[in-house]
Amino acid sequence: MDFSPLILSLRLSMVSTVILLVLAAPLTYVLAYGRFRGKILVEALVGLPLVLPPTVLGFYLLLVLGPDGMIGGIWQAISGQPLLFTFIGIVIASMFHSLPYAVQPLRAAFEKIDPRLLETAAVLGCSPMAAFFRVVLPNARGGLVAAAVLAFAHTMGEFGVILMVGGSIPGKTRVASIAIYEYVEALRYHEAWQLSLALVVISYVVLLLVSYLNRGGRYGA
Amino acid sequence: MGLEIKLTQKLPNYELDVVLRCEPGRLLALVGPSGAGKTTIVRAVAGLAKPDQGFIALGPEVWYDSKASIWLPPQKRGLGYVFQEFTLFPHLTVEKNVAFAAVDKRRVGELLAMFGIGELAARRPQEISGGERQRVALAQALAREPKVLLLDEPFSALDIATRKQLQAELKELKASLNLPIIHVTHDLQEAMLLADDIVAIEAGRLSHSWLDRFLVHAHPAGAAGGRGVSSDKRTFLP
Repeated sequence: MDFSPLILSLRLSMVSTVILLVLAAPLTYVLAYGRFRGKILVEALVGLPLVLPPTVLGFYLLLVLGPDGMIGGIWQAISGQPLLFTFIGIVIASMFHSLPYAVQPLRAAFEKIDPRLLETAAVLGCSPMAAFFRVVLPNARGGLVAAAVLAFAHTMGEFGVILMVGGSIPGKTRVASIAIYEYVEALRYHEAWQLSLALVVISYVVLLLVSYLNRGGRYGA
Repeated sequence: MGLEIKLTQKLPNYELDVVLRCEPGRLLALVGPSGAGKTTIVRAVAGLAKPDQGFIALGPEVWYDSKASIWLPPQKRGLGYVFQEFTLFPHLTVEKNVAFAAVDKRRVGELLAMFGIGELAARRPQEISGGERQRVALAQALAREPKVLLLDEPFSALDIATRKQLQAELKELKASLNLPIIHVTHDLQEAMLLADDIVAIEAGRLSHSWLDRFLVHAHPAGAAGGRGVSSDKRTFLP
Protein backbone atom coordinates (compact mmCIF):
# COMPACT_ATOMS: atom_id res chain seq x y z
CA MET A 1 0.00 0.00 0.00
CA ASP A 2 1.04 3.59 -0.66
CA PHE A 3 1.87 5.35 2.60
CA SER A 4 2.95 8.63 1.05
CA PRO A 5 -0.39 10.46 1.66
CA LEU A 6 -0.16 9.53 5.32
CA ILE A 7 3.43 10.68 5.63
CA LEU A 8 2.50 13.90 3.85
CA SER A 9 -0.38 14.48 6.30
CA LEU A 10 1.96 13.97 9.25
CA ARG A 11 4.56 16.30 7.78
CA LEU A 12 1.96 18.94 6.99
CA SER A 13 0.48 18.73 10.49
CA MET A 14 3.83 18.93 12.22
CA VAL A 15 5.20 21.81 10.20
CA SER A 16 2.04 23.89 10.29
CA THR A 17 1.49 23.24 14.02
CA VAL A 18 5.00 24.36 14.98
CA ILE A 19 4.84 27.55 12.91
CA LEU A 20 1.27 28.20 14.01
CA LEU A 21 2.17 28.00 17.71
CA VAL A 22 5.08 30.40 17.28
CA LEU A 23 2.70 32.93 15.70
CA ALA A 24 -0.45 32.21 17.72
CA ALA A 25 1.16 32.53 21.16
CA PRO A 26 2.14 36.22 20.84
CA LEU A 27 -1.14 36.98 19.04
CA THR A 28 -3.09 35.38 21.88
CA TYR A 29 -1.02 37.29 24.46
CA VAL A 30 -2.02 40.54 22.79
CA LEU A 31 -5.67 39.44 22.61
CA ALA A 32 -5.71 38.28 26.23
CA TYR A 33 -3.96 41.25 27.86
CA GLY A 34 -3.79 44.02 25.30
CA ARG A 35 -6.15 46.95 25.31
CA PHE A 36 -6.61 48.47 21.90
CA ARG A 37 -9.29 49.74 19.62
CA GLY A 38 -10.93 47.17 17.40
CA LYS A 39 -9.96 44.24 19.59
CA ILE A 40 -13.32 42.51 19.19
CA LEU A 41 -13.01 42.86 15.43
CA VAL A 42 -9.70 41.00 15.51
CA GLU A 43 -11.13 38.39 17.89
CA ALA A 44 -14.07 37.70 15.60
CA LEU A 45 -11.73 37.48 12.61
CA VAL A 46 -9.55 34.92 14.40
CA GLY A 47 -12.62 32.80 15.17
CA LEU A 48 -14.03 32.97 11.66
CA PRO A 49 -12.47 29.68 10.42
CA LEU A 50 -14.50 27.90 13.12
CA VAL A 51 -17.80 28.76 11.47
CA LEU A 52 -16.97 29.15 7.78
CA PRO A 53 -17.37 26.21 5.42
CA PRO A 54 -13.87 25.03 4.41
CA THR A 55 -14.74 25.73 0.79
CA VAL A 56 -15.39 29.39 1.55
CA LEU A 57 -12.16 29.75 3.50
CA GLY A 58 -10.39 27.76 0.78
CA PHE A 59 -11.79 30.00 -1.93
CA TYR A 60 -10.50 33.15 -0.28
CA LEU A 61 -7.16 31.53 0.45
CA LEU A 62 -7.00 30.54 -3.20
CA LEU A 63 -7.27 34.22 -4.08
CA VAL A 64 -4.85 35.44 -1.40
CA LEU A 65 -2.24 32.76 -2.05
CA GLY A 66 -2.57 33.00 -5.83
CA PRO A 67 -0.02 34.83 -7.96
CA ASP A 68 -2.15 38.00 -7.89
CA GLY A 69 -3.02 37.68 -4.19
CA MET A 70 -1.28 39.49 -1.36
CA ILE A 71 0.65 36.56 0.11
CA GLY A 72 1.09 34.65 -3.14
CA GLY A 73 2.33 37.74 -4.97
CA ILE A 74 4.94 38.56 -2.31
CA TRP A 75 6.04 34.93 -2.19
CA GLN A 76 6.41 34.77 -5.94
CA ALA A 77 8.38 38.02 -6.03
CA ILE A 78 10.82 36.72 -3.40
CA SER A 79 11.17 33.06 -4.35
CA GLY A 80 10.12 33.01 -7.99
CA GLN A 81 7.84 30.05 -7.15
CA PRO A 82 4.05 29.91 -6.93
CA LEU A 83 2.32 29.07 -3.64
CA LEU A 84 -0.79 27.38 -4.97
CA PHE A 85 -0.64 23.62 -5.38
CA THR A 86 2.60 23.40 -3.35
CA PHE A 87 3.40 21.99 0.09
CA ILE A 88 4.21 25.45 1.48
CA GLY A 89 0.88 26.67 0.15
CA ILE A 90 -1.09 24.05 2.07
CA VAL A 91 1.02 24.71 5.19
CA ILE A 92 -0.04 28.37 5.12
CA ALA A 93 -3.66 27.45 4.36
CA SER A 94 -3.71 24.96 7.24
CA MET A 95 -2.37 27.57 9.63
CA PHE A 96 -5.23 29.93 8.80
CA HIS A 97 -7.74 27.13 9.12
CA SER A 98 -6.37 25.90 12.48
CA LEU A 99 -5.72 29.35 13.99
CA PRO A 100 -8.79 29.40 16.29
CA TYR A 101 -8.01 25.86 17.48
CA ALA A 102 -4.64 27.09 18.71
CA VAL A 103 -5.81 30.45 20.03
CA GLN A 104 -8.67 29.19 22.18
CA PRO A 105 -6.76 26.85 24.51
CA LEU A 106 -3.86 29.29 24.67
CA ARG A 107 -6.18 32.08 25.65
CA ALA A 108 -7.84 29.98 28.33
CA ALA A 109 -4.40 29.13 29.75
CA PHE A 110 -3.15 32.73 29.61
CA GLU A 111 -6.27 34.06 31.31
CA LYS A 112 -5.89 31.54 34.10
CA ILE A 113 -2.58 33.11 35.08
CA ASP A 114 -3.03 35.39 38.09
CA PRO A 115 -2.75 38.98 36.83
CA ARG A 116 -0.80 39.80 39.98
CA LEU A 117 2.03 37.63 38.67
CA LEU A 118 2.27 39.87 35.65
CA GLU A 119 2.18 42.93 37.90
CA THR A 120 4.98 41.47 39.99
CA ALA A 121 6.97 40.78 36.84
CA ALA A 122 6.47 44.37 35.69
CA VAL A 123 7.48 45.80 39.06
CA LEU A 124 10.53 43.54 39.00
CA GLY A 125 11.59 45.14 35.75
CA CYS A 126 10.08 42.92 33.04
CA SER A 127 8.85 44.57 29.87
CA PRO A 128 5.61 43.03 28.55
CA MET A 129 7.70 40.97 26.13
CA ALA A 130 10.04 39.71 28.84
CA ALA A 131 7.00 38.84 30.97
CA PHE A 132 5.60 36.84 28.05
CA PHE A 133 8.69 34.63 27.87
CA ARG A 134 9.58 34.49 31.56
CA VAL A 135 6.15 34.26 33.18
CA VAL A 136 3.28 33.68 30.75
CA LEU A 137 4.67 30.87 28.58
CA PRO A 138 6.15 28.78 31.41
CA ASN A 139 2.85 28.99 33.30
CA ALA A 140 0.76 28.06 30.26
CA ARG A 141 2.44 24.81 29.32
CA GLY A 142 -0.81 22.88 29.50
CA GLY A 143 -2.41 25.38 27.12
CA LEU A 144 0.51 25.08 24.72
CA VAL A 145 0.17 21.30 24.66
CA ALA A 146 -3.60 21.51 24.15
CA ALA A 147 -3.17 24.07 21.37
CA ALA A 148 -0.55 21.94 19.63
CA VAL A 149 -2.71 18.84 19.79
CA LEU A 150 -5.87 20.51 18.57
CA ALA A 151 -4.06 22.21 15.71
CA PHE A 152 -2.26 18.98 14.81
CA ALA A 153 -5.38 16.85 14.91
CA HIS A 154 -7.40 19.44 13.03
CA THR A 155 -4.80 19.61 10.27
CA MET A 156 -4.58 15.81 10.06
CA GLY A 157 -8.28 15.68 9.27
CA GLU A 158 -8.41 18.70 6.99
CA PHE A 159 -9.94 18.20 3.58
CA GLY A 160 -11.79 21.05 1.89
CA VAL A 161 -9.28 23.83 2.35
CA ILE A 162 -6.36 21.70 1.17
CA LEU A 163 -8.29 20.52 -1.85
CA MET A 164 -9.09 24.13 -2.82
CA VAL A 165 -5.57 25.46 -2.34
CA GLY A 166 -3.43 22.42 -3.05
CA GLY A 167 -5.44 20.17 -5.28
CA SER A 168 -4.28 16.57 -5.18
CA ILE A 169 -0.72 16.27 -6.37
CA PRO A 170 0.83 12.98 -5.22
CA GLY A 171 3.74 13.54 -2.82
CA LYS A 172 3.09 17.28 -2.64
CA THR A 173 -0.49 18.05 -1.69
CA ARG A 174 -2.31 14.72 -1.81
CA VAL A 175 -2.79 14.25 1.93
CA ALA A 176 -4.42 11.23 3.57
CA SER A 177 -7.96 12.64 3.74
CA ILE A 178 -7.90 13.50 0.05
CA ALA A 179 -6.39 10.15 -0.87
CA ILE A 180 -9.15 8.37 1.06
CA TYR A 181 -11.81 10.34 -0.78
CA GLU A 182 -10.24 9.46 -4.11
CA TYR A 183 -9.95 5.78 -3.22
CA VAL A 184 -13.62 5.69 -2.32
CA GLU A 185 -14.58 7.46 -5.51
CA ALA A 186 -12.58 4.88 -7.48
CA LEU A 187 -14.26 2.10 -5.46
CA ARG A 188 -10.86 1.02 -4.11
CA TYR A 189 -12.32 0.27 -0.68
CA HIS A 190 -9.41 -1.85 0.43
CA GLU A 191 -6.94 1.07 0.21
CA ALA A 192 -9.52 3.44 1.72
CA TRP A 193 -9.89 1.03 4.60
CA GLN A 194 -6.16 0.81 5.28
CA LEU A 195 -5.53 4.53 5.13
CA SER A 196 -8.57 5.32 7.28
CA LEU A 197 -7.54 2.83 9.90
CA ALA A 198 -4.01 4.25 9.96
CA LEU A 199 -5.45 7.74 10.49
CA VAL A 200 -7.64 6.51 13.35
CA VAL A 201 -4.70 4.79 15.04
CA ILE A 202 -2.39 7.79 14.70
CA SER A 203 -5.03 10.20 16.03
CA TYR A 204 -5.77 7.91 18.94
CA VAL A 205 -2.09 7.57 19.86
CA VAL A 206 -1.65 11.35 19.71
CA LEU A 207 -4.59 11.87 22.06
CA LEU A 208 -3.26 9.22 24.44
CA LEU A 209 0.13 10.88 24.45
CA VAL A 210 -1.47 14.18 25.33
CA SER A 211 -3.46 12.79 28.23
CA TYR A 212 -0.25 11.23 29.49
CA LEU A 213 1.70 14.48 29.19
CA ASN A 214 -1.11 16.47 30.78
CA ARG A 215 -1.11 14.25 33.81
CA GLY A 216 2.56 15.10 34.31
CA GLY A 217 2.08 18.84 33.96
CA ARG A 218 1.32 20.59 37.22
CA TYR A 219 0.75 24.13 36.03
CA GLY A 220 -1.46 25.88 33.59
CA ALA A 221 -4.61 24.71 31.94
CA MET B 1 16.22 61.04 47.65
CA GLY B 2 12.74 61.44 49.06
CA LEU B 3 9.63 60.03 47.49
CA GLU B 4 7.07 62.68 46.73
CA ILE B 5 3.46 61.75 46.06
CA LYS B 6 0.56 63.97 45.12
CA LEU B 7 -2.47 62.46 43.57
CA THR B 8 -6.15 62.74 42.95
CA GLN B 9 -8.28 59.98 41.60
CA LYS B 10 -12.03 59.63 41.27
CA LEU B 11 -13.15 56.41 42.94
CA PRO B 12 -16.71 55.04 42.95
CA ASN B 13 -17.70 56.52 46.32
CA TYR B 14 -15.30 59.38 46.89
CA GLU B 15 -12.31 61.19 45.51
CA LEU B 16 -8.83 60.18 46.59
CA ASP B 17 -6.80 63.30 47.25
CA VAL B 18 -3.51 62.98 49.11
CA VAL B 19 -0.09 64.53 49.44
CA LEU B 20 2.63 62.38 51.00
CA ARG B 21 6.36 62.37 51.39
CA CYS B 22 8.70 59.60 52.45
CA GLU B 23 12.42 60.06 53.04
CA PRO B 24 15.07 57.36 52.59
CA GLY B 25 15.55 55.24 55.68
CA ARG B 26 12.04 55.99 56.90
CA LEU B 27 9.01 53.79 56.90
CA LEU B 28 5.73 55.52 56.21
CA ALA B 29 2.72 53.51 57.30
CA LEU B 30 -0.60 54.07 55.57
CA VAL B 31 -3.36 52.97 57.88
CA GLY B 32 -7.12 53.22 57.72
CA PRO B 33 -10.21 51.17 56.99
CA SER B 34 -10.32 48.93 53.95
CA GLY B 35 -11.41 50.62 50.79
CA ALA B 36 -10.01 53.95 51.96
CA GLY B 37 -7.66 54.24 48.99
CA LYS B 38 -4.39 53.00 50.52
CA THR B 39 -3.77 50.36 47.92
CA THR B 40 -4.70 52.78 45.15
CA ILE B 41 -1.89 55.02 46.38
CA VAL B 42 0.81 52.33 46.34
CA ARG B 43 -0.38 51.00 43.01
CA ALA B 44 0.02 54.47 41.56
CA VAL B 45 3.52 54.71 43.05
CA ALA B 46 4.36 51.30 41.56
CA GLY B 47 3.05 52.37 38.16
CA LEU B 48 0.35 49.70 38.09
CA ALA B 49 -2.53 52.16 37.98
CA LYS B 50 -2.53 55.65 36.60
CA PRO B 51 -4.27 58.27 38.74
CA ASP B 52 -6.40 61.01 37.20
CA GLN B 53 -4.02 63.75 38.24
CA GLY B 54 -0.90 64.23 40.25
CA PHE B 55 2.81 64.04 40.58
CA ILE B 56 5.09 61.24 41.78
CA ALA B 57 8.84 61.62 41.95
CA LEU B 58 11.81 60.07 43.63
CA GLY B 59 14.24 62.93 44.17
CA PRO B 60 14.88 64.43 40.73
CA GLU B 61 13.44 61.38 38.95
CA VAL B 62 9.87 62.13 37.88
CA TRP B 63 7.75 58.98 37.57
CA TYR B 64 4.42 60.65 36.99
CA ASP B 65 3.43 64.18 36.17
CA SER B 66 -0.06 64.57 34.77
CA LYS B 67 0.65 68.15 33.68
CA ALA B 68 3.74 67.19 31.70
CA SER B 69 2.16 63.89 30.54
CA ILE B 70 4.96 61.88 32.12
CA TRP B 71 4.19 58.30 33.06
CA LEU B 72 6.98 55.85 33.67
CA PRO B 73 5.89 52.19 33.34
CA PRO B 74 6.44 49.99 36.40
CA GLN B 75 9.44 48.17 34.93
CA LYS B 76 11.36 51.45 34.67
CA ARG B 77 10.77 52.61 38.25
CA GLY B 78 13.15 50.30 40.04
CA LEU B 79 11.03 49.39 43.01
CA GLY B 80 10.27 46.49 45.23
CA TYR B 81 6.63 45.65 45.84
CA VAL B 82 5.44 42.97 48.23
CA PHE B 83 1.74 42.15 47.91
CA GLN B 84 -0.48 40.40 50.41
CA GLU B 85 -0.04 36.97 48.82
CA PHE B 86 0.20 34.86 45.68
CA THR B 87 2.82 36.75 43.80
CA LEU B 88 5.71 34.31 43.66
CA PHE B 89 6.20 32.60 40.33
CA PRO B 90 4.79 29.07 40.68
CA HIS B 91 7.00 27.65 37.92
CA LEU B 92 10.21 28.69 39.67
CA THR B 93 11.96 27.43 42.78
CA VAL B 94 12.41 29.70 45.78
CA GLU B 95 15.98 30.39 44.72
CA LYS B 96 15.01 31.23 41.15
CA ASN B 97 12.19 33.43 42.42
CA VAL B 98 14.65 35.46 44.47
CA ALA B 99 17.09 35.54 41.54
CA PHE B 100 14.33 36.57 39.09
CA ALA B 101 15.31 40.22 39.04
CA ALA B 102 18.52 40.09 41.06
CA VAL B 103 20.96 42.79 40.07
CA ASP B 104 23.84 40.78 41.46
CA LYS B 105 23.20 37.04 41.23
CA ARG B 106 25.88 36.40 43.86
CA ARG B 107 23.74 38.17 46.44
CA VAL B 108 20.92 35.64 46.08
CA GLY B 109 22.54 33.16 48.46
CA GLU B 110 23.15 35.94 50.94
CA LEU B 111 19.49 37.01 50.83
CA LEU B 112 18.27 33.43 51.21
CA ALA B 113 20.42 33.10 54.32
CA MET B 114 19.37 36.50 55.65
CA PHE B 115 15.69 35.55 55.49
CA GLY B 116 16.34 32.05 56.78
CA ILE B 117 14.99 30.41 53.63
CA GLY B 118 18.23 28.83 52.40
CA GLU B 119 16.95 25.34 53.07
CA LEU B 120 13.88 25.99 50.92
CA ALA B 121 15.94 27.07 47.90
CA ALA B 122 14.91 24.11 45.74
CA ARG B 123 11.24 24.11 46.74
CA ARG B 124 8.42 25.70 44.84
CA PRO B 125 6.26 28.46 46.34
CA GLN B 126 3.23 26.16 46.60
CA GLU B 127 5.25 23.77 48.76
CA ILE B 128 6.15 26.22 51.53
CA SER B 129 4.14 28.01 54.22
CA GLY B 130 2.56 31.44 53.96
CA GLY B 131 5.15 33.03 56.23
CA GLU B 132 7.97 31.50 54.23
CA ARG B 133 6.41 32.77 51.02
CA GLN B 134 6.35 36.33 52.33
CA ARG B 135 10.02 36.05 53.32
CA VAL B 136 10.77 34.88 49.78
CA ALA B 137 8.74 37.77 48.40
CA LEU B 138 10.73 40.26 50.51
CA ALA B 139 14.02 38.68 49.43
CA GLN B 140 12.84 38.80 45.81
CA ALA B 141 11.97 42.48 46.09
CA LEU B 142 15.28 43.36 47.76
CA ALA B 143 17.36 41.33 45.29
CA ARG B 144 16.52 43.82 42.59
CA GLU B 145 18.12 46.51 44.80
CA PRO B 146 15.07 48.75 44.70
CA LYS B 147 15.08 52.49 45.17
CA VAL B 148 11.73 52.36 46.96
CA LEU B 149 10.07 49.51 48.84
CA LEU B 150 6.28 49.15 48.82
CA LEU B 151 4.64 46.73 51.22
CA ASP B 152 0.92 46.25 50.68
CA GLU B 153 -0.53 44.36 53.65
CA PRO B 154 2.42 41.97 53.45
CA PHE B 155 1.58 40.12 56.64
CA SER B 156 -2.19 40.26 56.85
CA ALA B 157 -2.78 36.81 55.38
CA LEU B 158 -0.56 35.20 58.03
CA ASP B 159 -1.46 33.73 61.39
CA ILE B 160 -0.72 35.87 64.43
CA ALA B 161 2.48 34.15 65.56
CA THR B 162 4.05 34.25 62.11
CA ARG B 163 2.90 37.81 61.63
CA LYS B 164 4.55 38.95 64.87
CA GLN B 165 7.77 37.24 63.91
CA LEU B 166 7.88 38.75 60.44
CA GLN B 167 7.08 42.16 61.88
CA ALA B 168 10.07 41.84 64.19
CA GLU B 169 12.27 40.74 61.31
CA LEU B 170 11.16 43.63 59.15
CA LYS B 171 11.81 46.08 61.98
CA GLU B 172 15.37 44.81 62.19
CA LEU B 173 15.82 44.75 58.44
CA LYS B 174 14.52 48.29 58.07
CA ALA B 175 17.51 49.77 59.88
CA SER B 176 19.83 48.44 57.19
CA LEU B 177 17.78 49.71 54.26
CA ASN B 178 18.40 53.27 53.28
CA LEU B 179 15.37 53.73 51.09
CA PRO B 180 11.86 55.10 51.40
CA ILE B 181 9.47 52.38 52.52
CA ILE B 182 5.68 52.65 52.28
CA HIS B 183 3.81 50.09 54.29
CA VAL B 184 0.06 49.68 53.90
CA THR B 185 -1.70 48.03 56.78
CA HIS B 186 -5.06 48.08 58.50
CA ASP B 187 -3.31 46.97 61.68
CA LEU B 188 -2.46 50.04 63.71
CA GLN B 189 -0.30 48.08 66.13
CA GLU B 190 1.81 46.89 63.24
CA ALA B 191 2.11 50.45 62.03
CA MET B 192 3.16 51.66 65.47
CA LEU B 193 5.78 48.95 65.77
CA LEU B 194 7.35 49.54 62.38
CA ALA B 195 6.66 53.06 61.23
CA ASP B 196 8.59 56.25 61.56
CA ASP B 197 5.58 58.13 60.26
CA ILE B 198 1.95 57.11 60.29
CA VAL B 199 -0.73 58.51 58.05
CA ALA B 200 -4.35 57.55 58.32
CA ILE B 201 -6.40 57.55 55.13
CA GLU B 202 -10.14 57.61 55.33
CA ALA B 203 -12.41 57.89 52.32
CA GLY B 204 -9.54 59.06 50.19
CA ARG B 205 -8.24 61.82 52.50
CA LEU B 206 -5.63 62.09 55.19
CA SER B 207 -7.55 61.80 58.41
CA HIS B 208 -6.62 62.64 61.96
CA SER B 209 -9.97 61.74 63.38
CA TRP B 210 -9.70 58.13 62.31
CA LEU B 211 -6.34 57.75 64.01
CA ASP B 212 -7.53 59.56 67.16
CA ARG B 213 -10.67 57.50 67.36
CA PHE B 214 -8.60 54.39 67.09
CA LEU B 215 -6.10 55.58 69.68
CA VAL B 216 -8.74 56.41 72.23
CA HIS B 217 -9.49 52.72 72.34
CA ALA B 218 -5.98 51.41 71.97
CA HIS B 219 -3.92 54.01 73.82
CA PRO B 220 -6.04 56.55 75.67
CA ALA B 221 -3.01 58.47 76.85
CA GLY B 222 -1.55 58.78 73.40
CA ALA B 223 -4.69 60.22 71.96
CA ALA B 224 -4.94 62.78 74.70
CA GLY B 225 -1.73 64.32 73.42
CA GLY B 226 -3.51 65.36 70.27
CA ARG B 227 -1.90 64.26 67.03
CA GLY B 228 1.02 62.37 68.46
CA VAL B 229 1.02 58.62 68.45
CA SER B 230 3.93 58.30 70.83
CA SER B 231 7.09 60.29 71.47
CA ASP B 232 8.96 58.86 68.51
CA LYS B 233 6.05 58.43 66.14
CA ARG B 234 4.15 61.21 64.57
CA THR B 235 1.44 61.58 62.06
CA PHE B 236 2.82 63.22 59.05
CA LEU B 237 1.35 66.11 57.19
CA PRO B 238 3.43 67.83 54.53
